[in-house]
Amino acid sequence: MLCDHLYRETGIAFGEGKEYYVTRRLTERMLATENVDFAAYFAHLTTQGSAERQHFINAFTVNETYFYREDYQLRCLTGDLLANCVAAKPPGAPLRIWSLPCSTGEEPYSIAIWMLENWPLVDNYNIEIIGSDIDTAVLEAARGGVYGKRALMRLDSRLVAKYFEQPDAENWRVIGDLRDSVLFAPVNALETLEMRRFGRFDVIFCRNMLIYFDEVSRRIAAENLYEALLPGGYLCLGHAESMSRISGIFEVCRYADAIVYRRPPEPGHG
Amino acid sequence: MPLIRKAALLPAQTGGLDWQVEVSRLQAGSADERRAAARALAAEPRAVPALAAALNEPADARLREAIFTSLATQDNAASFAVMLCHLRADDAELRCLALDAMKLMPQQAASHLPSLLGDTDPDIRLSACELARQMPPETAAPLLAARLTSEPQVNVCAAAIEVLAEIGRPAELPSLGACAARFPAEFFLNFSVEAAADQIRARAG
Amino acid sequence: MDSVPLRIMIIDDASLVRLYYRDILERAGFAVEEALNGVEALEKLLVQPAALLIVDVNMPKMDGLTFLRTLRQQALPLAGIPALVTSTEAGPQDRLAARAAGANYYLMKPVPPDRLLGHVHLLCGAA
Repeated sequence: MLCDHLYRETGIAFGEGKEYYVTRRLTERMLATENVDFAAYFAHLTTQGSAERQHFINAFTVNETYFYREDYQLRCLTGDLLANCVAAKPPGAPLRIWSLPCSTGEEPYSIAIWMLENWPLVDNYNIEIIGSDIDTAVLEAARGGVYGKRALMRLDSRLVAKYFEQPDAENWRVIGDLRDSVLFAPVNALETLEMRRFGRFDVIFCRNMLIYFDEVSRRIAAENLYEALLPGGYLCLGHAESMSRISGIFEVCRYADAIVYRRPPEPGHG
Repeated sequence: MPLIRKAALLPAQTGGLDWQVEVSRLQAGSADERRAAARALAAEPRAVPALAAALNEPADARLREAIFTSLATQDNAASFAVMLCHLRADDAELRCLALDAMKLMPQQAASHLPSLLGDTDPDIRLSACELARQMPPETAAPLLAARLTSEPQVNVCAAAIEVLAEIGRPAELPSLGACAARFPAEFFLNFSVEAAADQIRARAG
Repeated sequence: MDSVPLRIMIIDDASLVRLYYRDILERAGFAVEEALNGVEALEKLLVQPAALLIVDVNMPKMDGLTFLRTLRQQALPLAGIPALVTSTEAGPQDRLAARAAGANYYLMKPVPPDRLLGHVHLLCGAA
């Protein structure tokens, strides 16, 4: 029944064989919240405004961030999405991509590196990549562009050599040209007026943020994201997330590598 | 490094909101303007009638959703009343958006729940059962169980049983059984009573 | 020769309704998928189409008729998947609206097992 509740709220599903995993995580949370039985814990969890919701979801989702995380979406970006985005753009037109929340910057830098490495048309357009987060401390770290070995584990040595300097044995720093290419600016995704300052994007990566919001906030954030897309623009959520728990305002699109969401194109266009 | 350049942000919007200007945009703007106006009016209780009126015109789903979100954000009796109206709409999309929005207003829903469960319209009673799902079980479960004792419409019973399957306690088991006894020929109702009872007993351990 | 069971997708936000249909359909030899609203149904069908849909009208996030209209605008085979629409609404206008959205049949809830299976067999072309 907890699984049903979790599934209905977040779309996170547990198949057979995962009972041990679920039980263990659940026991950890029950101990942490000092609830002696499941019924008490469930009541605590489902109380409006309960902070436990975030802890509960954290326990069941992977929160580690690193370069090229969920790269199936990057493959989808250069394999399918960008072609549609630029179909009606003249050469030199802007192509805008937003990474929100960007945390310490791994995601927007990954998008930049991936596009430079994998998109043949990368020189044909004026590409703007913006990274945003509500937390100004992580944005400061993102601007600094310094990472440890673990963050780079999915990058091969050629990429590391090409896009990073190594100031010391433990740290790698994104090269200056790349750091200068990404704008890091704070935003609260629930603040409509703040969000509007960023204009409209061709693609927004919004992974593992909406999952933490309550129902009203998720809807407001989804509407803000919709407004932040150009007609025909794409929204990518985290792999365990779905708009089916949030809103029906986006179109659902399936590509070889991913399911993504789309603001409908203007009538009469693509 | 090829053409990747740092972006710039638009200037911050200054000045307060003129709600009447937004209402006129809501009534006569482009699709984008209407949606933006609906969202801008989220904090303006005086705009509830205008928001309600905009729901009555044929509108695109995105505008409707924005209007409902704004009404839900207001979280007051007037906006709840607007949603209640649309629970009875002929248009399925409007009905479903209205119920979704009512679920975002748990306090309003809780205070109206007893009367909604006793409404003369079975569609309202059915939707009320779904609203009960997010109430504290100790309040909602007995209300649903009470409904089951006398509810004439089998689909309303089914809706109550669906929610009791999730929130019901052993105290509600007798009313589940009594309901099944009232509808001996209804396959689905008897099936769901049994399934709900199983889930309640499993939870009780 | 093994025959692959036909896949039927049940699209309904009520867990007990899905359980009930699943029980009936699996006993009759069908494979069953579930979705709890129109958005989830589209996501799943885009990955793998089903042979038949049982779609409820009143669902959160995306109602059954909006889902059906959206489905009928997709590329084949999705656009052509037969759909049994179920509803608690009894009015003639609801039936008409369902037809206009692309329903093959419109069934009033609660649906008895033989009625469900009868319509499923009709739409699947099986005996």
